[in-house]
Amino acid sequence: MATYDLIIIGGGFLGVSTAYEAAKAGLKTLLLEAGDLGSGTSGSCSGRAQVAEGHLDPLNITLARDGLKRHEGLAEELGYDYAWRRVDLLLLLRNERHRQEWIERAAFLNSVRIPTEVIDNGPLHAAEPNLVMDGLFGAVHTVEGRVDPLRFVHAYARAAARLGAELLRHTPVMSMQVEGRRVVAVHTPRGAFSAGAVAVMTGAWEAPVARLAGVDLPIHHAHAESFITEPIAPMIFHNIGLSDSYETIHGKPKAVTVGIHPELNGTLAIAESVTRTPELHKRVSAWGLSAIATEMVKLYPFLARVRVVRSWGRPTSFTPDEEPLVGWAPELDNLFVATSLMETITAVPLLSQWMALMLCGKEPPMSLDLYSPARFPAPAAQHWS
Amino acid sequence: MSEHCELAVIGAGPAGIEAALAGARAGLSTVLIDQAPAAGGQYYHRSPGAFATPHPTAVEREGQALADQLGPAGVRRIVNALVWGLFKEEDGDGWLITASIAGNNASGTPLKVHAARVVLATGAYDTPLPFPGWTLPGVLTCGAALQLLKSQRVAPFKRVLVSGTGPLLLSVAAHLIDAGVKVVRVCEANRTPLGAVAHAPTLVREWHRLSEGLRYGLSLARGGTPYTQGWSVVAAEGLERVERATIAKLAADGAPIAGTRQTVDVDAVICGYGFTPNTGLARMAGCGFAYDRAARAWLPQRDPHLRSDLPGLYLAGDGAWVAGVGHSRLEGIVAGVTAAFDAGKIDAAGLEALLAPVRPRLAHQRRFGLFLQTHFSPPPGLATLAEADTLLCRCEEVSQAEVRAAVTDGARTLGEVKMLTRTGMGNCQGRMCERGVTAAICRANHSDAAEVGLYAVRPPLVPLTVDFLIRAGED
Amino acid sequence: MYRIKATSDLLPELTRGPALTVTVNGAAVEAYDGETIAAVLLAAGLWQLRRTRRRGEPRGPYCGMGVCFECLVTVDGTAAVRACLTPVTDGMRIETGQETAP
Repeated sequence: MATYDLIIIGGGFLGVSTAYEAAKAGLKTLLLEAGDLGSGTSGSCSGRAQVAEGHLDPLNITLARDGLKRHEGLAEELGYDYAWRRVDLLLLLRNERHRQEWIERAAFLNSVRIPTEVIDNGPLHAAEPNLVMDGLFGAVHTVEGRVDPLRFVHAYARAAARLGAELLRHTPVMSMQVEGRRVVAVHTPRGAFSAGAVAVMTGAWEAPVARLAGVDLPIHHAHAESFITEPIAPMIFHNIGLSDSYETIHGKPKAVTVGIHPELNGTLAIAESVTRTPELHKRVSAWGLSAIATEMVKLYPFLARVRVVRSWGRPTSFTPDEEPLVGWAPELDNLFVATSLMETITAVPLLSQWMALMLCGKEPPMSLDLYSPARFPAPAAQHWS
Repeated sequence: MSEHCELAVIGAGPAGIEAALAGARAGLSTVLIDQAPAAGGQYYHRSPGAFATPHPTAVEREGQALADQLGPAGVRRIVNALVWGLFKEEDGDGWLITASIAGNNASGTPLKVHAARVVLATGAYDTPLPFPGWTLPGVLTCGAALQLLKSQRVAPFKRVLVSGTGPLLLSVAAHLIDAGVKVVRVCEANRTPLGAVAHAPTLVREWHRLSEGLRYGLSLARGGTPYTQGWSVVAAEGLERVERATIAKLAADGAPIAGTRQTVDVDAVICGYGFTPNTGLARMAGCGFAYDRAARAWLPQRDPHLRSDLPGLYLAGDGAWVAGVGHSRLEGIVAGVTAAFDAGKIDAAGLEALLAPVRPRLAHQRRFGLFLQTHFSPPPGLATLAEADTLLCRCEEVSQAEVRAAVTDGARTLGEVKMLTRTGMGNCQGRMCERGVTAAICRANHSDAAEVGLYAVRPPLVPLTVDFLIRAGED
Repeated sequence: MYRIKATSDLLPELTRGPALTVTVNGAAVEAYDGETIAAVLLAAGLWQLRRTRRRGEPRGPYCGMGVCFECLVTVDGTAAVRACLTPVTDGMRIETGQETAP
């Protein structure tokens, strides 16, 4: 049985970036991905590196602000262009309450060096001449990041491989062998592997995979659908979001909100309809396509004549308190988990470095207790062999 | 508009018509959906209704006779209907089919069909084969040429090269010659002894195929058209359209032999390198697929009764495995009666009674299909025709060099190459490039097509306007 | 010139539908009821239906059955219509050489 310092299960943003940082730190690393790299949520997202919409505690602020900064030199470090760029986000304010809340929030964000401003309808109309202004109370303007999510996964994977990490695709984990408080083997159709530590970074699939080691994690998910248009002449000039997205979708069995993300090649990526379903899948529904189409023409009527070329569906995972889950699972001695970030792409370059430190047995520069799995009351222990 | 039925058959070609007839006659409320105005699919493609055709060919009469049975059998026909989505119903079992009626991508009328069971009979399309210049106007498939000649009665050519593999090349050439077009040569990539070819009709006891072959041979002789085995087009050139084509002799594996290239002046190259099942809806629905080495294609998995691995979904005909019209019609029957059995309309004895006469005939047709597959598949060496600058993905204009660069960069699967190069992300959702990109990855990586994977297909099956999608959501 | 006049057992006698008024890029072309846009364009000798985005290369019909999306033309103001699948109608205005919408 081949032995490693670290086995990472899951080849999305968290998995591949941690594989890179771990290999850089000198850990002999194996990454196991059930499908293609980035074939889960990572490859299906809009590629936004958000910075202003997360929780406002020092940890999240640091990861957002400094994560964004680390992106600036990252392509050169990894030796691969993943289309990183800074873009202007306009978060359209849908009522007066949101406007007031954001004025306060912007003041705070400015104080922690995340430049944010609230603009009125006049400047908003000048910035987005094709936007329907009815019912808007101005917008929040901030500068966030944007990547090609597929190339971003590939950039890290490639760099990790060059540093000696092994990345196996189409290699699902079938079972994990636990003896006492340690995972002693990970079983796949390609054979069994063992490691000093096993890290589960499988996004929305975190709960079923962790359960293979007898660990129960409170990971929930919603199913989100998006689509992409044909290339069009420039008519939308910013990333567009809605201030009421969260309220619209939170806790609802079926809801739709709109985010519009112009791509470099002239296409528009449009998010997103959301449903609650126990199933983890990547299908797209007829309802979802129609619902998104209906909402987006309310903002930009010209989109009615634009063609939708492709769609995709993905589960997005979250914890009960909507803080990420990152850290050592308390039930075992060598199982590390990381999933359910809210501003994933922004945080990943920095967080992966900190996780690599933890996987080497060291402390990260800031405490990650806020994200610790230990914060959830453990259910009755189950030991699977 | 919304309809409900016990059985929906998508595709009104030979397989679809037979499946609809079988289902309806067994007592299922049956709907037959097709994007054309008349039933028949590609094989029985009918001339436009506005044309008067006082002397239909034997094939046309056969197709008409088959389609004429649909009305009396009580099959509800939905025509001019482009199916763009196939979804599991959100509540309960059964399927939701979404279509656009009588419109192109923008102006159609949305239709929803709620079906307890679905037979996919979506047929096949000409297998694309990349070679330098294959994207030039004037490079056409056999299927396209036959539509133009037979149904539209147009021959927009003066001098043509026909290249590919299989008996269809002779049919295309004969039609061209009859239309007054100069066919400079027919290049058959495989070397099949004439004895073996003559043997083939005996497998299905279809003697008319021998006389067909002779008929085509006569046309070629009259047209002064050489028919050469072991040759293929290797390049097309021209500024705004085809002006010249280069052919070469092939080694046994299909790779061109150095020093044998010849250039001919032509204004069109008609390519017929076999057929690929049109499996977009099966992929969208989530059917299991397996790589079939003999067919060199990803085929949907079916049990002996043509059930997919998804409840209530069946696949029949060339849309699941290419073996021609006889095979398709018999599979249509199997799928239709199986659906009726699964719905409880017929019992096990009734199923057996209906299938018993079909089985031996289906076995013969399968042998014939295997024969064609063995002797008339594009030889693997043809994958070497594409050069570095040859576009493998026509829609997104991705060259072989870019695909190779992605592999050098670590991409191992079709999905990963797609991620990095955008192959398969255009209008055709990978139908034209899957085989070519797979072949390029395998050559660059020394890997196996089975490891490379296949493209996922998501709705809409064809690009649709936002406005149409809004209307499609209104009930 | 390219409409087939000759007949044989493979290409039996056929009478097209009545002539229709169809323009291509503003100019009238010969067209008959029942013909597809692709057939009308090819019969008029027009093979270059569009130009590609990246390389600006000419493209024309390839598969003839609507799966390749090469034969995209603009019809009565609607872009990206597949010429091989779409019959001509009286008064139809066809434009070639374009790619997409607004």
